[in-house]
Amino acid sequence: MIKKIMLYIAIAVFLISAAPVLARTTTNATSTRLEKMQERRERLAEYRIRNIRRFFGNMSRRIEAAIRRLERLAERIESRIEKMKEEGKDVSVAETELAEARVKINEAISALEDAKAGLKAALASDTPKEAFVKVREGLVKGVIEKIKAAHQALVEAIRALE
Amino acid sequence: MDHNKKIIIIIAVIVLGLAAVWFASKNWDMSGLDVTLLQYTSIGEFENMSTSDEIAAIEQDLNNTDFSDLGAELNSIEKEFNSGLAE
Repeated sequence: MIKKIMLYIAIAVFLISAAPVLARTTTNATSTRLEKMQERRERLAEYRIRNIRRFFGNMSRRIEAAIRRLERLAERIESRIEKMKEEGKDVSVAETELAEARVKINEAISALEDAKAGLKAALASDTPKEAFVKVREGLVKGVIEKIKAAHQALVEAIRALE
Repeated sequence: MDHNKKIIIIIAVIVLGLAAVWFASKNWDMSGLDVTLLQYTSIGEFENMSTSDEIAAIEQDLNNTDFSDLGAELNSIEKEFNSGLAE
C-alpha cells in the first residue's frame, strides 16, 4: 500500500515538474506556427507583387507600341499635308486635327509615366488597394482614352485631306 | 532478382517518396492560390504597317488599328491587389 502511495506521489511530482516544460513547448509550437503563417503571407504578397509587375510591364509595352504607331501615322499624315500644301490645297483642318492628335499623344505618354510611378508607390503603400484605384483611373482616363482620342483626331485629319 | 537489387529498389522508392513529400510541403502554400495567369498579348499588331504617305494607305492603317484591349491586364492587376496585398 505504501509503495502504491509513493508511486502516485512520484508520478504527481513528475507531472507537476514537467508542466512548465510542457507549457513552454506548447508556447514554442504556437509561436513557430505563427511565424510560419507570417512567412507564408509574406511569400504570397511577394508572389502577387511579382505578378502585378509582369502584368503591368506587359500592358505598358503594348501601350508604348500603340503610341509609337500613332506617332508614325502622324508623321505620314504630316508628310502628306506638306505635299498637298505645296500643291496649293487647303489643309488647315487636317493641320488642326494633327496638332490635336499630337497633344493627346504627348498627354498619353506623360500619363503613362505617371502611372508607372503610381504603381511603384502603390506597391510600397500601406494601403495598396486604395492607391491602385488612382493608378487605374490615370491609366484609363489619362492613357487609354487619350490614345483613342488621338487616333480619332488622326482619322479626322485624313478625312479632311480626301 | 537478387536480394541486393531489391533493397536498392526499395531504398530508391523511399528516397523518391521523401523527395515528393519534401517538394509538396515546400510548395503547398502556392497551390490552391487564385493567381491569375498571365496573358501575353502581342504587340506585333502595332508594329506592322506601311510607310507610305498616300491617303489610302494611311487610312487603311488607321482602320486596322484596334485599341480595344489596351487595358486588358487592368482587371487582372486589380484582382491581385484585391487578393490581400494589404494583409
